[in-house]
Amino acid sequence: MRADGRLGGWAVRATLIGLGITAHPPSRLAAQVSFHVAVGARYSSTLVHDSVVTAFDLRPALAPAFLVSVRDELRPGWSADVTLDVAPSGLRRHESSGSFDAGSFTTVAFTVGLRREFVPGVSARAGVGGLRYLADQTGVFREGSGGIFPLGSLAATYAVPLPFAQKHQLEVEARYDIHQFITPALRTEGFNASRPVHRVAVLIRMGWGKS
Amino acid sequence: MKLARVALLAVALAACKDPAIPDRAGVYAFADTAIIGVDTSVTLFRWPTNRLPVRFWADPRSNMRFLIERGITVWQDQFLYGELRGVVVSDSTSADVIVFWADSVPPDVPPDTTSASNACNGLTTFDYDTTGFTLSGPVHVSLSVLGGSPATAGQVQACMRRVAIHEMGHSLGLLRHSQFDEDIMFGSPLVDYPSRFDRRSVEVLYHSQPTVQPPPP
Repeated sequence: MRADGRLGGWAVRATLIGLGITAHPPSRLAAQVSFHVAVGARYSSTLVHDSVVTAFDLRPALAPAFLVSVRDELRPGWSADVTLDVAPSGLRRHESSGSFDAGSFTTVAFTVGLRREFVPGVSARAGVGGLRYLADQTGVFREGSGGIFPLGSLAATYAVPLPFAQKHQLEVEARYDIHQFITPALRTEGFNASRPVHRVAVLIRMGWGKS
Repeated sequence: MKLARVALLAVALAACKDPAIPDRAGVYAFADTAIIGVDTSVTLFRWPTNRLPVRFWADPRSNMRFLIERGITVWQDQFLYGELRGVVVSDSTSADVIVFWADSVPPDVPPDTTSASNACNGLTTFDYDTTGFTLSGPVHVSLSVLGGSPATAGQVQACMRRVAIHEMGHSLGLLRHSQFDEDIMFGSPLVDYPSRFDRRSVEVLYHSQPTVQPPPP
């Protein structure tokens, strides 16, 4: 962090401009940048629905999620951010006879987002980016992970109105995102289309720097 | 707001219908059947999920351990959803499947794949208890060099790679032979790896209800 508390502000701004997300008039170059980390739990919908003799689902287990964001205030009430989201998870096969271990993986997602504060302490965010599955080359990932999947995300954030929470910029966030999932092994198996995967996370966020 | 519109559009596009489940035609018969009087007895065996990983003991001589580890990887790779896991154990008394050399031990030399010579043989034996529906002990797999074969040591090793996978397929529950020579479970295997029909068959097997239980752990 730099002495003036503007953590990597130029890098963030260059990224946002480079991605064409927003245009910054020169008057906004003094915008405020803050750094945030968040931890929470994430539920994911089914990755694969298949039927061999009987129907079953392949679904990630409830898992921790870790997010790091750099947020840049564009103008009062509006901010943009870049977020790295890492989530290790077990993989479960759910059949009528029970739930069984089917390996593990980690998702890494990078998104850019635009956030608006609607009322003091309550804001919403929309973002886009990409998500990649990291896993051993076994099971549905035996021929690779399928590359980077486009990702859309929505989030609602509530800033806890307590002195301690305000000092540390504590926020509670509900985050939803969606991407399409398919892997080369699934294509080899005969799946000819990807499947939408919905993920919901509840997070506690802490921030540093100007907000 | 441009970003918000893009995000909403991405959500809308992503929320399309589910993909169709693929057709898995071409499964061959893997269960044994016996007609006794008016009853038809079906012998369908697979290692249940609560007995995974399947524990293989490999004869320590020559390259048997390599052959078995390779076979485990090959069969595990046929599955998409973690239905099978195997491991080589060093204690034969704790093994589910015991694999040993019968008769002679072939030298560990690089395989010669220039010829599909029938230079080796394999045998998988299941021992049942008196009910006929529970195994009484570990599955035994023996690999042997065919006597009188003019095959070179390299051709024997190439044959052993195929036959080891074939016999391990039996030990996993593919009890019968395929009628097609493109499958590793063909009576005298000619191919080096399981075919898509082998894969479909073992997938169906590991989602089927067994009639034969493994031996007590």
